[in-house]
Amino acid sequence: MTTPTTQAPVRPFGEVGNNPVGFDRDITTSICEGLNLTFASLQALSLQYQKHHFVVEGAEFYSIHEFLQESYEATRELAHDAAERLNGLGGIPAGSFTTLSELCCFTPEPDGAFTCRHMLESDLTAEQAVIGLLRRLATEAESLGDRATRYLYEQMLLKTEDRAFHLEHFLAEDSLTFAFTR
Amino acid sequence: MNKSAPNWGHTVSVQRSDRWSVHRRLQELKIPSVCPADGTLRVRVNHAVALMLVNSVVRRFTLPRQAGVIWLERCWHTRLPCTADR
Repeated sequence: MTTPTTQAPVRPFGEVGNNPVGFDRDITTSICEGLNLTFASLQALSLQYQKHHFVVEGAEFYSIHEFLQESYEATRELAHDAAERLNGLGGIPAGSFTTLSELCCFTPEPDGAFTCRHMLESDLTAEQAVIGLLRRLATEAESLGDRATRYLYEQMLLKTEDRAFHLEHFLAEDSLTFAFTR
Repeated sequence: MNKSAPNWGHTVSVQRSDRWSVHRRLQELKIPSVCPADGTLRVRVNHAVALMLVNSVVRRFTLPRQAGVIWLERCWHTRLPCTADR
């Protein structure tokens, strides 16, 4: 394994620079921390969905396999949007697994493959934690007058709640096959 | 002691996503607090009233909504003489 060259960063992680949209740094410091929490949580969620996409099997394999792919792509895209705004406001997105893990708002599923139901339940638990985070951060952004970040969080929230609805539908105890319901 | 010192004040247990909001409310109440780089919230409390205020602010962020509603209902129905009214 090669070791990267050690060089002092131009700006250390956590230090927030200036922004071109007129926010004071005492506002962007907390907004950027919130965006980093969101970024880390969505990255972790995307990785979890991706693992589930790779390992899922069983009678409903194909539809769940497809849903998991859509979900890991969607969460990765939301993570990207959070990091873009974070950087625009003068912050630096977390980049190491250690920091991402510290900032993630839920405990990711341990390594290994689990039953299909267990994996979807883990995804729903993680989505619920992200929903709670987005709601709190949207409220904070509103209270600080950062309307665009609030709007971003609310768009994310709508998409995240949609995925939670779909997960719950996958987990429902209902089927057209009599053997599963009688 | 300097606010940036690692052992300044006491650590308050709140979620990292809430610490800045709690910090701002404490600033409004003139209670010294900081949000250091380690992700914690540290508060300096020197008297009982400040301690109750910190507790009250933190409860707002940590209690489930229903528990907050029950607490407010209890406060509303508690009959305590208020010296300010006399």
